[in-house]
Order: sequence, then structure tokens, then C-alpha cells
Amino acid sequence: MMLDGLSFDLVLSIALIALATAALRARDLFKGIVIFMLFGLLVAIAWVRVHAPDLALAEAAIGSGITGALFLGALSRIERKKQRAASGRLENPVGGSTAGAWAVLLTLVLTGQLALAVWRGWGYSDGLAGDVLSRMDESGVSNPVTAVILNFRAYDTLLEIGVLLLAVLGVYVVGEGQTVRDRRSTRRSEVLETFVHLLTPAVVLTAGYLVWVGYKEPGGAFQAGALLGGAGVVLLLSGRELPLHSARAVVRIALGGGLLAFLLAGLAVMQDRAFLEYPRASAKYIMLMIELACTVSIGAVLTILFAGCANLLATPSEEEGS
Amino acid sequence: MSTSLIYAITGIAIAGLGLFHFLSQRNILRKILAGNFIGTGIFLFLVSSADRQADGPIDPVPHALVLTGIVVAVSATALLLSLLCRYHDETGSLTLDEEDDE
Repeated sequence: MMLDGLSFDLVLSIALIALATAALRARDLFKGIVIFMLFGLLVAIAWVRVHAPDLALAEAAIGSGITGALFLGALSRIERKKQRAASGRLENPVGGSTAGAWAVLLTLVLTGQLALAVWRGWGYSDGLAGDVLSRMDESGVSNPVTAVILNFRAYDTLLEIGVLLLAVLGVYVVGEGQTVRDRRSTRRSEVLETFVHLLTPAVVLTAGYLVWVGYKEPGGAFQAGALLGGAGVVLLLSGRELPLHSARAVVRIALGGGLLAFLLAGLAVMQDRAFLEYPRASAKYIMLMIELACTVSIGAVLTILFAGCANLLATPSEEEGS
Repeated sequence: MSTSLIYAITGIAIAGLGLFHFLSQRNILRKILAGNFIGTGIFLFLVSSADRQADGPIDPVPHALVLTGIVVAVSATALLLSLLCRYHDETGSLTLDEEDDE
């Protein structure tokens, strides 16, 4: 029998739930994180099935790649400090205690409410699709998701770039100024070196393409920024020295450039329009400029966030050398 | 049964699994991992709801929300993990319990 769409969806759904359970209940936390990354890759396929290729691109880079790298970085840092693998112990989930009962109750309430929402309202309305699609010609682009992110709901995205910057500031506050004794010594290997040499330019090229193509096809600043962030993580893992310190001008420009470009673009059109209300003729180019700056910023943010989790922002102490 | 309905139910199940483990586990690193599952489950539910009608138009607004949500989730995770690592550096503990778990 041929595998048709719906049976594929069922198999994928069961696999997703099984992987989530396995990751959450894994005795060894390292194993749980690796299963989480695998889960992220399968979620990317699920995004394609619900017609969200924009999300598939972002999920494949972030959900499975960068988030997993963050967890592994933090885990290795904790375990190195601890020198014994006790961090991965599974707590008894339901011990019959009041906390366990509360957990069961709250979970049932949440899932019950969501299930009720599905039961009552599925197939009922098409949400805001009509509103967005009827005004696409005002947006200057032909990919509806890009139109929503950078034009119709540009406020949200502007603030979101601000949130990213806040997270980076938090990571700097927590991570910088400490000293570490055992900076991990990366073993240089020919294979890794060649891999990084070949991979990095290709990633930068792909990111540039994704930004540009975002106006009509799946793609845009978030997907491209995620790719750049992934390249940054690989460079850090291979032992490259990237400028990471918050006092470096290049770091500040890279981190703040996206928010700054967004704000300036919003203010520049204010002579005879509202904030962030681009004139129709030049909307496409304004959005492209914002996206380019945001791509660099998101890439830099993700790289610094990983550096923070892997303790690369701390200064190595003098006696050990770098 | 439609594709979007299957994934909406899957999303609910994953969010539920995540919430349960988030509440019941004491190890903070495991709590953060569970929080990521809650997020992904909710994202799956939200995006499935954008594709409810088999032949109808796809609502791009939830897609845009989730796209920014994925990026915010990763930055929140990174901040939490840095805070946890610093907490572990200072106290040697991975839980918020009064008595040390070791």
C-alpha cells in the first residue's frame, strides 16, 4: 500500500510524541539533549506538512541546531565543573506528593482547554488570511509571511529585535568579568579545519540568498540570521578567535545594527506618515535594508548567546595562558 | 481527520508532556529542556490553526508570530542557561531546593 499524506502525518506525529517522551525521560541528560535535536529536525518536516516552509527553515537551523548547541555547551560546562555525571539524574516525576498532583492537574487543565478549543472551533474561520492577502499589493513584497513580519506587524518585529538585544545584555552581565581556569583546549584536526573552510563561505552565501529571496519565497532575516549564527557556533567550536568582548566596536555595531536600522527606517518615513508606515513605492527596498541589518544582528546575537552558554565570554586566568 | 488537525493534537500532546515535566522535575536544566518542548508544542498548535480549511487560504499571521517566537525562545533559553551555569558555579547545585540534593 502506498503511504499517503495522512498516514505519513500520523506516523510523524507518533514519532514526535515518542521522541518528546524519550527526551524528557532520558536518564542521561546528554542523551535527552541529542534526542531533542532529532525532535527539532522532525518538527521541521511537520512545518512543511502544515504549509509553513518559512518555519521549517528557521526550525532546522535554530530548533535542532543552535538550541541543542546551547544545551550541550551548558551541560559540558556543568559537568566539567562537577567532574562526575550526577547532573543527569532523573527525578521521580510523580512521587505521590502534592507537587506531582499539581503537575498532573495543571497539565490536564491546559491540554483539556486546548483540546476543547480544537473540538469547538476547528475548520470554522480562516483567521486573518483574508485581510492580509487582500492587502498584499500594499506591502511591496509577495511572500505574505515577510509582509506580516516587516510591514503589517513591523512593531512586533522591532520589539522582538529589542528582546534579542536584551537577552544578549543579560548573557553579558552573567558571563563576562568571570575568570576561568580551564579553557577547553580544542584539538586542531585537518578534517575540521577543511570542513570549516568549505562550510563558512557557503553558509554566508546561502544566508545572503535567503535574505534576498525572502520577498517572494520562504526566507528572510530570521532564517538567514539563524544560518549565520550556526556558522558562528561552528567557528567557535573549531577554536577560532572571534571578537566577542562587549567593548569591541565591531561587536556593538553587529549587535545593535538591526535595531538601529529598524528604528531609523521607521523614523525616516515619519515626515508624512506614521511610524514604520513605508511608502508603497520604496517599501521593498526599505524592508530589504532592514532585513540585511537584522540578519547580521541575529547572527551576532546567536553567536554571542552560544559563547555565553559555553563560558567563552569569561577571561582565561593568567597562569594558565589562553 | 485532516493534516492540520493531526498536528494540532500532536502539538497539544507535546505541550502537555513538556508542562508536566517542567512542573515535576527538580533539575533546572531538565526544566529548561521541558520548557522548550512546551514552546514547540504551542507553536505546532498555533501554526496548524492557520491551515484549518483544506482548500482555503493559509493565514500568514500565526506563521509570522511563530517565526519570531522561535527566535525569542532560543534567546530566552540561552539567557536561562547562562543564569543556571552561573548559579551552579556559585552554589554547586542544579536545583532550587533548600537542602542540597547531593
